[in-house]
Amino acid sequence: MLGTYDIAVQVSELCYVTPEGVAVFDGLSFTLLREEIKFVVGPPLSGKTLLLKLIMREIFPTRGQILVAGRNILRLNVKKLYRLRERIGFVPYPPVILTSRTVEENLRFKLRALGIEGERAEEGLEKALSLTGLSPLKELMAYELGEGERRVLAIAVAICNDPVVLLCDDPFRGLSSQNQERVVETLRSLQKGGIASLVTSQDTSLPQRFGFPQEVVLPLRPEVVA
Amino acid sequence: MIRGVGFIFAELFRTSLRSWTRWLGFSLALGLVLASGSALALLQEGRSEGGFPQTYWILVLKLSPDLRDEKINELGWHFWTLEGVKRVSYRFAGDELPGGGTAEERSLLLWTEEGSKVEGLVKQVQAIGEGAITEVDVIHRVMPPPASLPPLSRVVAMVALALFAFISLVVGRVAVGGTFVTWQTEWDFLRYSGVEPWKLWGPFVGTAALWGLFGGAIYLLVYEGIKFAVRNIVTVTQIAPGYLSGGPLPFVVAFVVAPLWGATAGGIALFLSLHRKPYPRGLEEV
Repeated sequence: MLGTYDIAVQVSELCYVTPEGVAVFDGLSFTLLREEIKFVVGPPLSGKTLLLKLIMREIFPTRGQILVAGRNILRLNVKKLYRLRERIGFVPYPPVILTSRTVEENLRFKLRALGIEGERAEEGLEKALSLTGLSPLKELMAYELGEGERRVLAIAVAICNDPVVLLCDDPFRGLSSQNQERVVETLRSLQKGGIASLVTSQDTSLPQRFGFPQEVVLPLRPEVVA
Repeated sequence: MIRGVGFIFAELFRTSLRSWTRWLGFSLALGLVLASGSALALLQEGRSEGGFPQTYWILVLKLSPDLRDEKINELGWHFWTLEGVKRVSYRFAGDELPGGGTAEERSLLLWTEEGSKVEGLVKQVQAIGEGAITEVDVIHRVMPPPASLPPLSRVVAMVALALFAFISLVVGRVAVGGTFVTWQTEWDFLRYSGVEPWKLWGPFVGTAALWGLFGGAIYLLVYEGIKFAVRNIVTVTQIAPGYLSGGPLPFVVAFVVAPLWGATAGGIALFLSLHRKPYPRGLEEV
């Protein structure tokens, strides 16, 4: 039996109908365990980014329940929502990094903006750099990194404050297979480090190509959004 | 929870220094708003009547040398109630008399504009002040009108205030908009990091308030500088009596109104900047 602390995200009977009346999700349910990677795959406009928005409560669903780290995110007041939101790492597409700063400065920027300093900041920094393999590159300016390393840096930024879950919006898009492999390695490393990942991809065959079992793939209906 | 907001504010303010010319323009425009507002307030206190030469008959009542101050005061109040007396003033021996000459002894001066009543007044004061007044002289003087500004000057100050207020909003929009564009990546970076919205817009308002405070400091320097330069010009006292007499006005304007106006202009400018682009970037796609 799974306890609250074993589940990173639980989505139950999720329904979302657009203002135009299109039902994007109709009873979607899934569970993302701690130390698990789950792929949400589907073509453009199938609702991948929308799902991530719903989990972060950027928008509200029409019906259903979303638990993040055991908290019902739809019922939290704004103060509690942002406290929980800090425990959700998010990598948007395109990823946002500060190119005029070093790798380490990118992480420190986020940590200081969230008011995380001292020992906790140093721990977060070290953990993020070691899990993503960016430690040797920490003195490099972000603009000096290759495309794959930039994606990994975006992941490092997302996880440096020790979130329970990482939401990655299409981190493989536009990358060479070598760089895609680099990102997959990073996600596996996070998994070992105890961070669950929910990753979207337009490439429906990508999880299988990198050896992930079918059970971790959540296919969405094609082009449900007008 | 205000943790982290100081860091964000410091980073944003540092970014604003990269486009310091725009922000300096905002500070100067804001300084002009304060200057025209102050001018409007100070001119309200000045004389507004048109100036004509005034004809006065002045009764110089020479006082007995052994008269006590209390008695002089009492006489002064009594004379002031007499019909036709416009004003009562006092001169020590040696003081200058209106229109020239000096007082030979301590004197009370009774001012009247009605020449027909002079004779009657002389008799009355001699009767009232018997023993206290040794001699009464009458001086006829035509006094120049006090300096005044035409009513149009206030209209001009009001128009200037509105114009500079508008200009400061436009320049503020340019300054905030420029910094917003420069700060765009950091904005998105922080937004995706889960930073609360008020910690994103708050530092913009704070930065605008700080530059507003700088505008207030410039205003205060200019205000006090001009005040020092014109401190001996009587006309200034007549046109704007509050200017030279001091008071908290310039300090309140510089340290309270200026940052508030800066924050307001910054808030409006940021609102306009935010509504020019799809927000937030990267989350538009479903």
